[in-house]
Amino acid sequence: MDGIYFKEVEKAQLILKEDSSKIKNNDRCQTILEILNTLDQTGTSFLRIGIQSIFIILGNRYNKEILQKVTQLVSEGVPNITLQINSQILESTTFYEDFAKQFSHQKQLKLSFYKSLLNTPTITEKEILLYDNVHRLGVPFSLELEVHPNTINVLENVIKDIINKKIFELVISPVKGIRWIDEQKNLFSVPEYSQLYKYIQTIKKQRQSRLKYYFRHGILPKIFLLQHPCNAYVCSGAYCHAGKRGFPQKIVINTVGDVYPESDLLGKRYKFGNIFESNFSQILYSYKNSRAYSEFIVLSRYVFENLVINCPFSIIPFTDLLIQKSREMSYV
Amino acid sequence: MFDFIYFMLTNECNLHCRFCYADSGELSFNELDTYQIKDFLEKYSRYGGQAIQFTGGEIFLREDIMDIISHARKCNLDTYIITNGTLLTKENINFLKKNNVHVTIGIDGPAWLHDKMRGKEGTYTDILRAIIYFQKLDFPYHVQTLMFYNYLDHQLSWLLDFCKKYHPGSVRLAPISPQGRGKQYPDSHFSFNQLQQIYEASISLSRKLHYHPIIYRNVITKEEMRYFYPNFREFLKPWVLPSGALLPFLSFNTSWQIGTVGSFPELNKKSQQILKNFNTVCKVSFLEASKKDFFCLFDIIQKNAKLYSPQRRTCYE
Repeated sequence: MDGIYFKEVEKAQLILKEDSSKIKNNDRCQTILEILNTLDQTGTSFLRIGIQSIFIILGNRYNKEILQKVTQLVSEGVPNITLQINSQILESTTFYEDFAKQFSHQKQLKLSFYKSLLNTPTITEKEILLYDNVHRLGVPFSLELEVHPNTINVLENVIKDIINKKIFELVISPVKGIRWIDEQKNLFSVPEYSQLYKYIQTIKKQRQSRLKYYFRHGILPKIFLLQHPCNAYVCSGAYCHAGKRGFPQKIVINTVGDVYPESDLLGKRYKFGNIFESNFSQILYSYKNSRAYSEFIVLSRYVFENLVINCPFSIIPFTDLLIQKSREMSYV
Repeated sequence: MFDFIYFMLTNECNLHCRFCYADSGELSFNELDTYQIKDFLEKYSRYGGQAIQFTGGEIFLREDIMDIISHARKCNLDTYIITNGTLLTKENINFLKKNNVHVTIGIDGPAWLHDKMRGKEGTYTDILRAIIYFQKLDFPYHVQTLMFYNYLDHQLSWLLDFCKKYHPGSVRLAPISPQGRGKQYPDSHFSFNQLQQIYEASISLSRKLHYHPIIYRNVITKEEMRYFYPNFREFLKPWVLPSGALLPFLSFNTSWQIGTVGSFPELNKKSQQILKNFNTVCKVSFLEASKKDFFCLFDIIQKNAKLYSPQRRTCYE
């Protein structure tokens, strides 16, 4: 679609994330570490259970133990690990130094710098320096820009600043998250997603460069969902030409260890289980016979049939629609 | 200026469909020639046009149709055509495939029903012959089925078998429009409440076919309205009539005309007032639709457009 890519995965991806609205900053890394340790202690082999990539959302806090744990995952052969950090991390920590020691030229590992345009709508000199340094390390990285309906106007200037600055991947990340959903006003509507897409297309055409543009996970071209409805979990394995069996492509473990399909914002009724209460592998294996699975399939099917097929726009925030609909349903 | 446009290439048709929205049949004396159309395509592309849908009448009755389509493709326009399928030969299907044209064929039901509605025996067989050739070439085609209230069950069971056997890329279920010759058969029309049956049919068919092909519908639900439609104006695309008249939506009342293909992209002097009144039609329709559980956008706009005078200066707002 005109050179703008969509972040999707062919095989299951595990997302470890914190829920910043529920925990204090100091707890955050400890919890991610706890999650990784718990998975480790229960003998979870990511490759054996079919997880091909792990996306760790670290925010602006980290410690050396986490990096060591990630090193271990890399050595175990997990093909893709992305560590998402706030790009302001350099100002307060020795992250870069530690990272350089551990991960120089580790091709399985990728960094994703997360930047919200809400508070700092420009790219600072320090950030540019960070990108240069990480580029020198040989670690692939991307810049994920959190865009809000009222920060779209600064997007063009930011892109202008980063073009030719060693960044090859730019992920456009329309804001989402529990606090935004509750406030509603700062969320993109479905028509606004399409406007944003067109806007980025225009910028891309105007500014020819090697920069690759992506949309964040869960935002997909409508035609992709329609031609491959297994991505919307409505096509049963019995009829799927690719033999997909409706297992979630994204599995999210939040701070308290709850495991969800697609997004941890879906609500408790869609929860697979909790990794602190039972073995992660077992949670996954028993999921297809669970009530949460049936509920999730009902939700996905509802969204696909009622909102995706006849959507007049070519870009669909599928995960966001699942979240919104699940919350509406829970009110009922 | 516009990114998508519907272009009625001719009023001439080799069939006499009972429900034809355009009341097609005879060739009009004032239809555009090849040069005028090609000139418009160039201007349209230059001023931001992205895609065009050629419709009629039956477009394959125009001898220059290949030339027009080739030119649209040369102008980098995504090209869509809608045809009754009876004049599709191997030669022009090959041509359409080569030019990456999106082809929609109108089929309304099993042979007895389709031929009855289209006013000519044997049309269903002609279409099937073309469809088999599409399949042989592995060239995706799409189907539009006009839904008749009094034949709905026949149509749905036929569609299920048809899709399983002939694998169209997509099927669009469209309630017949109460305009043109469609006005004459009130029994076949769906009321607002009855439109729910098309909605339910689309979901039921989708499930039975395991979501392949895609079953679209020209029926919008209250929920879709809430999620996707902040207004109607941006969803209504302009139409060009066979005479070259440019209108902001599908209407055969030329007092809604805002320009011509010849003068494009300039709009006529009265166009500002017409567009203003059209906006009012869209707003009124939006308010009406927001109270309905199901509605058909084109029909609700058509209905309200009749209530307003396009050029009257009185501000309805």
